[in-house]
Amino acid sequence: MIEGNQSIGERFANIDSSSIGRHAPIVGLIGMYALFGIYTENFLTVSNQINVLNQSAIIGVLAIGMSFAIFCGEIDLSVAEIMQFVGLLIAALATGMLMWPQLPPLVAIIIGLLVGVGLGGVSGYITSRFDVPSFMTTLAMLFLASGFGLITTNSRPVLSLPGELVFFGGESILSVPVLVIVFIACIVLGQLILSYTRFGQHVYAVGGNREAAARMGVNVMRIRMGVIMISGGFAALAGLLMLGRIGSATPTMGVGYLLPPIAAVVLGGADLFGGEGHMYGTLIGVLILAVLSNGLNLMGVSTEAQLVAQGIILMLAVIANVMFR
Amino acid sequence: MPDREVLITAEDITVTYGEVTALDGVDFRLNSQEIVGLVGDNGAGKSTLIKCLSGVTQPDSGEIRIKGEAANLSNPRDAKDKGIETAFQDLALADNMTVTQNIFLGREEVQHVGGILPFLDKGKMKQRTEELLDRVNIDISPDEKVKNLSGGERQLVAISRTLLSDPDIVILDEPTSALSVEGAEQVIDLIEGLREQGISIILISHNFEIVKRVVDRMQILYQGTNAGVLPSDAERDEIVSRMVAGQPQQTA
Repeated sequence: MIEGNQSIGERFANIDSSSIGRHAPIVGLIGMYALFGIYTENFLTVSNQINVLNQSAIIGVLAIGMSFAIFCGEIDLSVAEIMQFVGLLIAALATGMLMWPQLPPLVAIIIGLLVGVGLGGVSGYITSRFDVPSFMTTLAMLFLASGFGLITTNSRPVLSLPGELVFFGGESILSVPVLVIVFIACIVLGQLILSYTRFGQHVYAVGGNREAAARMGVNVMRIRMGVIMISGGFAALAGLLMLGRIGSATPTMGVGYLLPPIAAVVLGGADLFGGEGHMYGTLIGVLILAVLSNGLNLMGVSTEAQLVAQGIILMLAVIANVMFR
Repeated sequence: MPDREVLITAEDITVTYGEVTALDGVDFRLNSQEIVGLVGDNGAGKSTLIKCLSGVTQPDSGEIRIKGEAANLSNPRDAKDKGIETAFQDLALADNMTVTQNIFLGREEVQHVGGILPFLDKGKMKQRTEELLDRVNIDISPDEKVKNLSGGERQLVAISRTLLSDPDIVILDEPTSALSVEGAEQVIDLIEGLREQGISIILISHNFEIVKRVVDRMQILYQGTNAGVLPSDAERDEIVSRMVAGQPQQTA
Protein backbone atom coordinates (compact mmCIF):
# COMPACT_ATOMS: atom_id res chain seq x y z
CA MET A 1 0.00 0.00 0.00
CA ILE A 2 1.27 3.46 -0.90
CA GLU A 3 1.62 5.87 2.01
CA GLY A 4 -0.12 9.24 1.80
CA ASN A 5 -1.12 10.52 -1.59
CA GLN A 6 2.11 9.59 -3.38
CA SER A 7 1.76 7.53 -6.52
CA ILE A 8 4.19 4.72 -7.27
CA GLY A 9 5.80 6.97 -9.89
CA GLU A 10 6.32 9.76 -7.37
CA ARG A 11 7.83 7.37 -4.85
CA PHE A 12 10.31 6.14 -7.44
CA ALA A 13 11.09 9.74 -8.38
CA ASN A 14 11.87 10.51 -4.72
CA ILE A 15 14.43 7.74 -4.36
CA ASP A 16 17.76 9.51 -3.86
CA SER A 17 20.88 8.50 -5.74
CA SER A 18 22.76 7.28 -2.65
CA SER A 19 19.90 4.89 -1.95
CA ILE A 20 20.27 3.44 -5.45
CA GLY A 21 24.00 3.06 -4.93
CA ARG A 22 23.46 1.41 -1.54
CA HIS A 23 21.07 -1.22 -2.86
CA ALA A 24 22.55 -1.82 -6.30
CA PRO A 25 24.90 -4.68 -5.24
CA ILE A 26 22.20 -6.78 -3.57
CA VAL A 27 19.77 -6.10 -6.43
CA GLY A 28 22.47 -7.19 -8.89
CA LEU A 29 23.14 -10.37 -6.93
CA ILE A 30 19.44 -11.25 -6.72
CA GLY A 31 19.15 -10.59 -10.45
CA MET A 32 21.98 -13.03 -11.13
CA TYR A 33 20.37 -15.68 -8.93
CA ALA A 34 17.11 -15.25 -10.84
CA LEU A 35 18.85 -15.37 -14.22
CA PHE A 36 20.98 -18.43 -13.52
CA GLY A 37 18.13 -20.11 -11.62
CA ILE A 38 15.95 -19.86 -14.71
CA TYR A 39 18.52 -20.70 -17.36
CA THR A 40 20.46 -23.53 -15.64
CA GLU A 41 19.26 -26.71 -14.01
CA ASN A 42 21.62 -27.15 -11.11
CA PHE A 43 22.47 -23.59 -10.07
CA LEU A 44 20.06 -23.35 -7.13
CA THR A 45 20.85 -26.76 -5.62
CA VAL A 46 22.29 -26.81 -2.10
CA SER A 47 25.43 -28.61 -3.21
CA ASN A 48 26.07 -26.00 -5.90
CA GLN A 49 25.52 -23.12 -3.47
CA ILE A 50 28.02 -24.67 -1.05
CA ASN A 51 30.33 -25.04 -4.03
CA VAL A 52 29.91 -21.31 -4.79
CA LEU A 53 30.82 -20.41 -1.20
CA ASN A 54 33.74 -22.83 -1.23
CA GLN A 55 35.09 -21.33 -4.45
CA SER A 56 34.72 -17.79 -3.14
CA ALA A 57 36.01 -18.25 0.41
CA ILE A 58 39.73 -17.59 -0.20
CA ILE A 59 39.05 -14.47 -2.24
CA GLY A 60 36.52 -13.58 0.45
CA VAL A 61 39.03 -13.79 3.28
CA LEU A 62 41.46 -11.64 1.28
CA ALA A 63 38.62 -9.20 0.56
CA ILE A 64 37.82 -8.84 4.26
CA GLY A 65 41.35 -7.60 4.95
CA MET A 66 41.23 -5.44 1.82
CA SER A 67 37.96 -3.93 3.06
CA PHE A 68 39.66 -2.56 6.18
CA ALA A 69 42.30 -0.92 3.98
CA ILE A 70 39.86 0.52 1.42
CA PHE A 71 37.37 1.77 4.04
CA CYS A 72 40.31 3.69 5.54
CA GLY A 73 41.30 5.18 2.19
CA GLU A 74 44.26 2.84 1.70
CA ILE A 75 44.89 -0.18 -0.51
CA ASP A 76 46.96 -3.34 -0.13
CA LEU A 77 48.53 -4.69 -3.31
CA SER A 78 50.59 -7.32 -1.49
CA VAL A 79 47.80 -9.65 -0.31
CA ALA A 80 48.27 -12.36 -2.95
CA GLU A 81 52.02 -12.57 -2.43
CA ILE A 82 51.73 -12.50 1.37
CA MET A 83 49.18 -15.32 1.09
CA GLN A 84 51.56 -17.28 -1.12
CA PHE A 85 54.61 -16.64 1.07
CA VAL A 86 52.85 -17.51 4.32
CA GLY A 87 51.39 -20.67 2.80
CA LEU A 88 54.85 -21.76 1.67
CA LEU A 89 56.39 -20.77 5.02
CA ILE A 90 53.88 -22.71 7.10
CA ALA A 91 54.26 -25.75 4.84
CA ALA A 92 58.06 -25.56 4.88
CA LEU A 93 58.21 -25.15 8.68
CA ALA A 94 55.81 -28.01 9.33
CA THR A 95 57.44 -30.46 6.93
CA GLY A 96 61.05 -29.76 7.83
CA MET A 97 61.84 -28.34 4.42
CA LEU A 98 63.08 -25.07 5.89
CA MET A 99 64.61 -26.31 9.14
CA TRP A 100 65.09 -29.61 10.92
CA PRO A 101 63.46 -30.92 13.00
CA GLN A 102 60.15 -29.72 11.64
CA LEU A 103 57.93 -27.59 13.85
CA PRO A 104 54.58 -28.81 15.18
CA PRO A 105 51.86 -27.71 12.69
CA LEU A 106 50.18 -25.42 15.23
CA VAL A 107 53.45 -23.60 15.92
CA ALA A 108 54.09 -23.28 12.18
CA ILE A 109 50.60 -21.84 11.71
CA ILE A 110 51.07 -19.28 14.50
CA ILE A 111 54.45 -18.24 13.11
CA GLY A 112 52.95 -17.90 9.62
CA LEU A 113 50.05 -15.76 10.79
CA LEU A 114 52.38 -13.52 12.79
CA VAL A 115 54.66 -13.13 9.77
CA GLY A 116 51.66 -12.01 7.69
CA VAL A 117 50.68 -9.44 10.29
CA GLY A 118 54.30 -8.34 10.56
CA LEU A 119 54.70 -7.83 6.82
CA GLY A 120 51.49 -5.80 6.79
CA GLY A 121 52.88 -3.87 9.74
CA VAL A 122 56.05 -2.99 7.83
CA SER A 123 54.02 -1.63 4.89
CA GLY A 124 51.64 0.11 7.26
CA TYR A 125 54.40 1.70 9.32
CA ILE A 126 56.17 3.11 6.26
CA THR A 127 52.85 4.29 4.83
CA SER A 128 51.74 6.10 7.96
CA ARG A 129 55.09 7.23 9.37
CA PHE A 130 56.39 8.76 6.15
CA ASP A 131 53.01 9.46 4.54
CA VAL A 132 53.88 7.32 1.53
CA PRO A 133 50.85 6.16 -0.53
CA SER A 134 49.97 2.61 0.48
CA PHE A 135 49.79 1.87 -3.23
CA MET A 136 53.58 2.19 -3.34
CA THR A 137 54.55 0.56 -0.05
CA THR A 138 52.38 -2.49 -0.61
CA LEU A 139 53.61 -2.73 -4.21
CA ALA A 140 57.12 -2.95 -2.79
CA MET A 141 55.89 -5.55 -0.29
CA LEU A 142 54.40 -7.51 -3.20
CA PHE A 143 57.89 -8.00 -4.63
CA LEU A 144 59.43 -8.66 -1.20
CA ALA A 145 56.90 -11.32 -0.23
CA SER A 146 57.13 -12.93 -3.63
CA GLY A 147 60.90 -13.19 -3.25
CA PHE A 148 60.67 -14.46 0.33
CA GLY A 149 58.30 -17.19 -0.85
CA LEU A 150 60.66 -18.42 -3.54
CA ILE A 151 63.64 -18.30 -1.15
CA THR A 152 61.72 -20.21 1.55
CA THR A 153 61.23 -23.34 -0.55
CA ASN A 154 63.95 -22.75 -3.10
CA SER A 155 61.22 -22.25 -5.74
CA ARG A 156 59.91 -25.78 -5.19
CA PRO A 157 56.39 -26.88 -4.16
CA VAL A 158 55.78 -28.46 -0.76
CA LEU A 159 53.78 -31.67 -1.04
CA SER A 160 52.53 -34.22 1.54
CA LEU A 161 51.31 -31.73 4.11
CA PRO A 162 50.38 -32.81 7.66
CA GLY A 163 46.65 -33.30 8.21
CA GLU A 164 46.40 -30.30 10.58
CA LEU A 165 47.48 -27.96 7.79
CA VAL A 166 44.82 -29.11 5.35
CA PHE A 167 42.01 -29.23 7.93
CA PHE A 168 41.02 -25.56 7.66
CA GLY A 169 40.91 -25.43 3.88
CA GLY A 170 40.03 -28.98 2.98
CA GLU A 171 37.74 -30.59 5.57
CA SER A 172 34.03 -30.25 6.25
CA ILE A 173 31.85 -30.17 9.36
CA LEU A 174 28.28 -31.45 8.84
CA SER A 175 28.84 -31.23 5.08
CA VAL A 176 29.79 -27.55 5.31
CA PRO A 177 33.42 -26.88 4.34
CA VAL A 178 35.50 -25.49 7.22
CA LEU A 179 36.76 -22.98 4.67
CA VAL A 180 33.23 -21.54 4.34
CA ILE A 181 32.70 -21.50 8.11
CA VAL A 182 35.97 -19.60 8.57
CA PHE A 183 34.98 -17.13 5.83
CA ILE A 184 31.56 -16.38 7.31
CA ALA A 185 33.03 -16.11 10.82
CA CYS A 186 35.60 -13.60 9.53
CA ILE A 187 32.88 -11.52 7.84
CA VAL A 188 30.94 -11.32 11.11
CA LEU A 189 34.08 -10.57 13.12
CA GLY A 190 35.13 -7.87 10.66
CA GLN A 191 31.78 -6.10 10.82
CA LEU A 192 31.71 -6.35 14.61
CA ILE A 193 35.08 -4.61 14.75
CA LEU A 194 33.96 -1.90 12.31
CA SER A 195 30.58 -1.21 13.90
CA TYR A 196 31.20 -1.69 17.59
CA THR A 197 34.77 -0.68 18.41
CA ARG A 198 36.60 2.63 18.61
CA PHE A 199 39.09 1.29 16.09
CA GLY A 200 36.29 0.61 13.59
CA GLN A 201 34.85 4.11 14.00
CA HIS A 202 38.28 5.59 13.51
CA VAL A 203 38.80 3.56 10.32
CA TYR A 204 35.74 5.25 8.79
CA ALA A 205 36.74 8.66 10.19
CA VAL A 206 40.28 8.50 8.79
CA GLY A 207 38.89 7.25 5.48
CA GLY A 208 36.33 10.06 5.35
CA ASN A 209 38.38 13.02 6.56
CA ARG A 210 41.89 12.31 7.79
CA GLU A 211 42.52 15.91 8.86
CA ALA A 212 39.31 16.10 10.88
CA ALA A 213 40.10 12.80 12.58
CA ALA A 214 43.55 14.05 13.58
CA ARG A 215 42.09 17.31 14.95
CA MET A 216 39.69 15.30 17.10
CA GLY A 217 42.52 13.36 18.68
CA VAL A 218 42.37 10.18 16.58
CA ASN A 219 45.80 8.59 16.21
CA VAL A 220 45.73 8.58 12.41
CA MET A 221 49.13 6.92 12.09
CA ARG A 222 48.04 3.99 14.27
CA ILE A 223 44.81 3.53 12.32
CA ARG A 224 46.50 3.63 8.89
CA MET A 225 49.14 1.19 10.05
CA GLY A 226 46.52 -0.99 11.72
CA VAL A 227 44.36 -1.52 8.64
CA ILE A 228 47.30 -2.66 6.53
CA MET A 229 48.44 -4.97 9.35
CA ILE A 230 44.95 -6.45 9.46
CA SER A 231 45.02 -6.92 5.69
CA GLY A 232 48.34 -8.74 6.05
CA GLY A 233 46.84 -10.91 8.78
CA PHE A 234 43.86 -11.95 6.65
CA ALA A 235 46.21 -12.60 3.71
CA ALA A 236 48.20 -14.92 5.97
CA LEU A 237 45.00 -16.70 7.03
CA ALA A 238 44.12 -17.10 3.34
CA GLY A 239 47.56 -18.69 2.89
CA LEU A 240 46.74 -21.28 5.54
CA LEU A 241 43.32 -21.97 3.98
CA MET A 242 44.92 -22.31 0.56
CA LEU A 243 47.03 -25.23 1.82
CA GLY A 244 43.90 -27.28 2.42
CA ARG A 245 42.12 -26.04 -0.69
CA ILE A 246 44.83 -27.28 -3.07
CA GLY A 247 46.42 -29.88 -0.77
CA SER A 248 49.94 -28.51 -1.17
CA ALA A 249 51.96 -25.29 -1.20
CA THR A 250 53.21 -24.03 -4.52
CA PRO A 251 55.28 -20.96 -5.46
CA THR A 252 52.51 -19.87 -7.87
CA MET A 253 49.46 -20.31 -5.68
CA GLY A 254 48.97 -16.55 -5.31
CA VAL A 255 48.68 -15.92 -9.04
CA GLY A 256 45.35 -14.29 -9.90
CA TYR A 257 44.42 -13.48 -6.30
CA LEU A 258 45.29 -9.77 -6.14
CA LEU A 259 42.58 -8.10 -8.20
CA PRO A 260 39.46 -10.16 -7.34
CA PRO A 261 39.47 -9.07 -3.66
CA ILE A 262 39.73 -5.42 -4.70
CA ALA A 263 36.97 -5.96 -7.26
CA ALA A 264 34.79 -7.63 -4.64
CA VAL A 265 35.09 -4.70 -2.23
CA VAL A 266 34.19 -2.24 -4.99
CA LEU A 267 31.32 -4.41 -6.19
CA GLY A 268 30.05 -4.40 -2.61
CA GLY A 269 29.56 -0.65 -2.78
CA ALA A 270 32.62 0.64 -0.90
CA ASP A 271 33.89 4.13 -1.72
CA LEU A 272 37.27 3.73 -3.42
CA PHE A 273 38.44 6.90 -1.65
CA GLY A 274 37.55 5.60 1.81
CA GLY A 275 34.98 6.28 4.50
CA GLU A 276 32.11 4.17 3.14
CA GLY A 277 31.43 0.45 2.99
CA HIS A 278 30.65 -2.55 5.15
CA MET A 279 31.49 -6.24 5.35
CA TYR A 280 28.08 -7.38 4.18
CA GLY A 281 28.70 -5.39 1.01
CA THR A 282 32.04 -7.14 0.65
CA LEU A 283 30.27 -10.50 1.08
CA ILE A 284 27.84 -9.54 -1.69
CA GLY A 285 30.73 -8.43 -3.89
CA VAL A 286 32.52 -11.74 -3.36
CA LEU A 287 29.32 -13.65 -4.13
CA ILE A 288 28.69 -11.60 -7.29
CA LEU A 289 32.09 -12.65 -8.64
CA ALA A 290 31.63 -16.29 -7.62
CA VAL A 291 28.01 -16.60 -8.80
CA LEU A 292 28.86 -15.02 -12.13
CA SER A 293 31.69 -17.47 -12.70
CA ASN A 294 29.72 -20.46 -11.48
CA GLY A 295 26.56 -19.59 -13.40
CA LEU A 296 28.37 -18.94 -16.65
CA ASN A 297 30.25 -22.22 -16.24
CA LEU A 298 26.98 -24.06 -15.82
CA MET A 299 25.67 -22.35 -18.94
CA GLY A 300 28.72 -23.57 -20.82
CA VAL A 301 30.13 -20.10 -21.48
CA SER A 302 33.83 -20.12 -22.40
CA THR A 303 36.52 -18.80 -20.02
CA GLU A 304 37.28 -15.95 -22.42
CA ALA A 305 33.67 -14.81 -22.48
CA GLN A 306 33.52 -15.07 -18.67
CA LEU A 307 36.40 -12.60 -18.40
CA VAL A 308 34.52 -10.18 -20.66
CA ALA A 309 31.40 -10.56 -18.50
CA GLN A 310 33.40 -9.94 -15.31
CA GLY A 311 34.93 -6.84 -16.88
CA ILE A 312 31.52 -5.46 -17.85
CA ILE A 313 30.07 -6.10 -14.38
CA LEU A 314 33.03 -4.41 -12.69
CA MET A 315 32.87 -1.45 -15.05
CA LEU A 316 29.19 -0.98 -14.25
CA ALA A 317 29.98 -1.20 -10.54
CA VAL A 318 32.67 1.47 -10.79
CA ILE A 319 30.29 3.79 -12.66
CA ALA A 320 27.60 3.19 -10.02
CA ASN A 321 30.23 3.80 -7.32
CA VAL A 322 30.87 7.30 -8.68
CA MET A 323 27.38 8.26 -9.94
CA PHE A 324 25.17 7.12 -7.10
CA ARG A 325 27.23 8.13 -4.09
CA MET B 1 31.20 44.78 37.50
CA PRO B 2 32.48 42.13 39.93
CA ASP B 3 36.06 40.93 39.58
CA ARG B 4 36.22 38.00 37.23
CA GLU B 5 38.62 35.11 37.42
CA VAL B 6 41.36 35.28 34.79
CA LEU B 7 41.07 32.07 32.77
CA ILE B 8 43.74 32.53 30.10
CA THR B 9 46.74 34.79 29.86
CA ALA B 10 49.11 34.55 26.94
CA GLU B 11 52.22 36.70 27.18
CA ASP B 12 54.72 37.62 24.52
CA ILE B 13 53.68 34.80 22.18
CA THR B 14 55.89 34.44 19.11
CA VAL B 15 55.38 31.89 16.34
CA THR B 16 57.47 31.58 13.21
CA TYR B 17 57.02 29.33 10.18
CA GLY B 18 60.42 29.23 8.53
CA GLU B 19 61.18 32.80 7.46
CA VAL B 20 57.65 34.02 8.20
CA THR B 21 56.79 35.45 11.62
CA ALA B 22 53.09 34.70 12.17
CA LEU B 23 52.93 36.12 15.69
CA ASP B 24 55.40 38.57 17.19
CA GLY B 25 55.15 39.13 20.94
CA VAL B 26 51.34 38.97 21.19
CA ASP B 27 49.55 39.19 24.54
CA PHE B 28 46.03 37.94 25.23
CA ARG B 29 43.69 37.64 28.20
CA LEU B 30 40.30 36.01 28.78
CA ASN B 31 38.26 36.30 31.97
CA SER B 32 35.52 34.00 33.19
CA GLN B 33 32.07 34.43 31.61
CA GLU B 34 33.52 36.84 29.11
CA ILE B 35 33.28 36.92 25.33
CA VAL B 36 36.39 38.32 23.71
CA GLY B 37 36.50 39.01 20.01
CA LEU B 38 39.73 38.39 18.16
CA VAL B 39 39.66 40.63 15.15
CA GLY B 40 42.04 41.27 12.30
CA ASP B 41 42.44 41.16 8.56
CA ASN B 42 43.54 38.04 6.69
CA GLY B 43 47.06 37.10 7.78
CA ALA B 44 46.80 39.09 11.03
CA GLY B 45 47.62 36.01 13.12
CA LYS B 46 44.19 35.24 14.56
CA SER B 47 44.18 31.59 13.57
CA THR B 48 47.79 31.12 14.68
CA LEU B 49 47.01 32.48 18.15
CA ILE B 50 43.99 30.20 18.36
CA LYS B 51 46.06 27.21 17.31
CA CYS B 52 48.45 28.00 20.17
CA LEU B 53 45.59 28.18 22.66
CA SER B 54 44.03 24.95 21.40
CA GLY B 55 47.27 22.96 21.39
CA VAL B 56 47.55 22.57 17.62
CA THR B 57 50.64 24.79 17.34
CA GLN B 58 53.34 25.37 19.95
CA PRO B 59 54.75 28.91 20.26
CA ASP B 60 58.48 29.46 19.74
CA SER B 61 58.51 31.68 22.81
CA GLY B 62 56.14 33.20 25.32
CA GLU B 63 53.99 31.76 28.08
CA ILE B 64 50.39 30.57 28.29
CA ARG B 65 48.81 30.39 31.73
CA ILE B 66 45.45 28.80 32.43
CA LYS B 67 43.74 29.80 35.67
CA GLY B 68 47.09 31.16 36.83
CA GLU B 69 49.11 28.03 36.15
CA ALA B 70 51.67 27.73 33.36
CA ALA B 71 50.26 25.39 30.69
CA ASN B 72 52.20 23.33 28.18
CA LEU B 73 49.63 22.72 25.43
CA SER B 74 51.61 20.30 23.29
CA ASN B 75 48.57 18.78 21.54
CA PRO B 76 44.79 19.28 21.29
CA ARG B 77 44.24 16.72 24.02
CA ASP B 78 46.19 18.89 26.53
CA ALA B 79 43.96 21.85 25.72
CA LYS B 80 40.79 19.77 26.13
CA ASP B 81 42.09 18.49 29.47
CA LYS B 82 42.49 22.12 30.57
CA GLY B 83 38.87 22.83 29.64
CA ILE B 84 39.48 24.50 26.26
CA GLU B 85 37.42 23.29 23.30
CA THR B 86 37.69 24.64 19.75
CA ALA B 87 35.33 24.71 16.77
CA PHE B 88 37.68 25.27 13.86
CA GLN B 89 36.79 27.28 10.79
CA ASP B 90 36.77 24.18 8.59
CA LEU B 91 34.64 22.50 11.29
CA ALA B 92 36.73 19.28 11.21
CA LEU B 93 33.68 17.12 10.54
CA ALA B 94 33.74 13.76 8.77
CA ASP B 95 30.92 14.05 6.21
CA ASN B 96 30.59 10.29 5.85
CA MET B 97 29.70 9.84 9.52
CA THR B 98 26.60 10.60 11.58
CA VAL B 99 26.11 13.54 13.91
CA THR B 100 26.64 11.29 16.94
CA GLN B 101 29.78 9.72 15.48
CA ASN B 102 31.22 13.17 14.78
CA ILE B 103 30.41 14.56 18.21
CA PHE B 104 32.09 11.61 19.92
CA LEU B 105 34.92 11.18 17.44
CA GLY B 106 38.07 10.47 19.44
CA ARG B 107 36.06 10.31 22.71
CA GLU B 108 33.73 7.38 22.09
CA GLU B 109 31.93 5.90 25.09
CA VAL B 110 32.48 2.17 25.56
CA GLN B 111 30.93 -0.53 27.70
CA HIS B 112 32.77 -3.72 28.49
CA VAL B 113 30.73 -6.65 27.17
CA GLY B 114 31.24 -9.63 29.44
CA GLY B 115 33.48 -7.42 31.52
CA ILE B 116 36.21 -7.63 28.90
CA LEU B 117 35.38 -6.54 25.34
CA PRO B 118 35.26 -2.74 24.98
CA PHE B 119 32.28 -2.25 22.65
CA LEU B 120 30.84 1.15 21.79
CA ASP B 121 27.98 2.28 24.01
CA LYS B 122 25.84 3.56 21.15
CA GLY B 123 22.74 4.15 23.28
CA LYS B 124 24.57 6.37 25.74
CA MET B 125 26.25 8.36 22.96
CA LYS B 126 22.98 8.90 21.12
CA GLN B 127 21.23 10.08 24.28
CA ARG B 128 24.04 12.51 25.10
CA THR B 129 24.01 13.78 21.51
CA GLU B 130 20.28 14.50 21.76
CA GLU B 131 20.97 16.53 24.93
CA LEU B 132 23.71 18.51 23.22
CA LEU B 133 21.57 19.18 20.14
CA ASP B 134 18.79 20.41 22.44
CA ARG B 135 21.29 22.67 24.16
CA VAL B 136 22.23 24.37 20.88
CA ASN B 137 18.56 24.39 19.84
CA ILE B 138 18.82 22.41 16.63
CA ASP B 139 16.24 19.90 15.46
CA ILE B 140 18.14 17.18 13.62
CA SER B 141 18.48 13.45 14.10
CA PRO B 142 21.61 12.19 15.88
CA ASP B 143 21.68 9.48 13.20
CA GLU B 144 21.74 11.91 10.28
CA LYS B 145 24.89 11.86 8.20
CA VAL B 146 26.73 15.19 8.31
CA LYS B 147 26.92 15.33 4.51
CA ASN B 148 23.12 15.79 4.47
CA LEU B 149 23.16 18.88 6.73
CA SER B 150 23.02 22.55 5.75
CA GLY B 151 25.95 24.90 6.46
CA GLY B 152 24.24 26.32 9.55
CA GLU B 153 23.41 22.88 10.90
CA ARG B 154 27.00 21.74 10.39
CA GLN B 155 28.24 24.78 12.30
CA LEU B 156 25.89 24.05 15.19
CA VAL B 157 26.99 20.40 15.24
CA ALA B 158 30.62 21.56 15.45
CA ILE B 159 29.72 23.89 18.33
CA SER B 160 27.68 21.24 20.12
CA ARG B 161 30.71 18.96 19.92
CA THR B 162 32.72 21.52 21.89
CA LEU B 163 30.17 21.26 24.71
CA LEU B 164 30.59 17.51 25.17
CA SER B 165 33.22 17.85 27.88
CA ASP B 166 31.44 20.74 29.68
CA PRO B 167 34.33 23.12 28.94
CA ASP B 168 35.13 26.41 30.67
CA ILE B 169 36.32 28.00 27.43
CA VAL B 170 35.08 27.60 23.87
CA ILE B 171 37.00 28.99 20.92
CA LEU B 172 34.91 29.68 17.83
CA ASP B 173 36.94 30.27 14.67
CA GLU B 174 34.93 32.24 12.08
CA PRO B 175 31.65 30.58 13.07
CA THR B 176 29.52 32.76 10.78
CA SER B 177 31.77 33.12 7.75
CA ALA B 178 30.05 30.48 5.61
CA LEU B 179 26.49 31.10 6.80
CA SER B 180 23.44 32.91 5.52
CA VAL B 181 22.15 35.91 7.50
CA GLU B 182 19.61 33.65 9.17
CA GLY B 183 22.25 31.06 10.02
CA ALA B 184 24.57 33.73 11.42
CA GLU B 185 21.79 35.08 13.65
CA GLN B 186 21.21 31.56 14.97
CA VAL B 187 24.90 31.21 15.86
CA ILE B 188 24.99 34.63 17.56
CA ASP B 189 21.96 33.72 19.67
CA LEU B 190 23.73 30.50 20.60
CA ILE B 191 26.91 32.35 21.63
CA GLU B 192 24.90 34.59 23.96
CA GLY B 193 23.16 31.54 25.35
CA LEU B 194 26.47 29.84 26.07
CA ARG B 195 27.68 32.84 28.06
CA GLU B 196 24.53 32.65 30.17
CA GLN B 197 25.46 29.03 30.83
CA GLY B 198 28.78 30.23 32.29
CA ILE B 199 31.05 29.48 29.34
CA SER B 200 33.75 31.94 28.31
CA ILE B 201 34.18 32.39 24.58
CA ILE B 202 36.88 33.55 22.22
CA LEU B 203 35.22 34.60 18.98
CA ILE B 204 37.41 34.95 15.93
CA SER B 205 36.14 36.81 12.93
CA HIS B 206 37.20 39.25 10.28
CA ASN B 207 33.63 40.61 10.35
CA PHE B 208 33.84 42.98 13.31
CA GLU B 209 30.22 44.14 12.90
CA ILE B 210 29.09 40.70 14.01
CA VAL B 211 31.74 40.53 16.72
CA LYS B 212 30.70 43.89 18.18
CA ARG B 213 27.19 42.64 18.82
CA VAL B 214 28.14 39.95 21.29
CA VAL B 215 31.60 40.58 22.74
CA ASP B 216 32.65 42.37 25.91
CA ARG B 217 35.79 43.63 24.24
CA MET B 218 37.82 43.14 21.08
CA GLN B 219 41.49 42.40 20.72
CA ILE B 220 42.79 43.52 17.36
CA LEU B 221 45.75 41.92 15.62
CA TYR B 222 47.68 43.45 12.76
CA GLN B 223 50.33 41.49 10.85
CA GLY B 224 51.08 39.27 13.83
CA THR B 225 51.28 42.05 16.43
CA ASN B 226 48.95 43.58 19.04
CA ALA B 227 47.00 46.49 17.59
CA GLY B 228 45.04 47.28 20.72
CA VAL B 229 42.12 46.19 22.85
CA LEU B 230 38.85 48.07 22.34
CA PRO B 231 35.45 48.00 24.02
CA SER B 232 32.55 46.55 22.06
CA ASP B 233 31.09 50.01 21.50
CA ALA B 234 34.28 51.37 19.88
CA GLU B 235 33.83 53.51 16.79
CA ARG B 236 33.86 51.71 13.47
CA ASP B 237 36.62 53.94 12.04
CA GLU B 238 38.80 53.27 15.07
CA ILE B 239 38.48 49.52 14.62
CA VAL B 240 39.13 49.68 10.87
CA SER B 241 42.19 51.88 11.38
CA ARG B 242 43.73 49.39 13.78
CA MET B 243 42.83 46.45 11.55
CA VAL B 244 44.30 47.85 8.34
CA ALA B 245 47.11 50.05 9.69
CA GLY B 246 47.80 48.59 13.10
CA GLN B 247 47.48 51.95 14.88
CA PRO B 248 44.81 54.28 16.30
CA GLN B 249 42.85 56.56 13.99
CA GLN B 250 44.80 59.73 13.16
CA THR B 251 42.86 62.82 14.07
CA ALA B 252 43.23 66.05 12.06
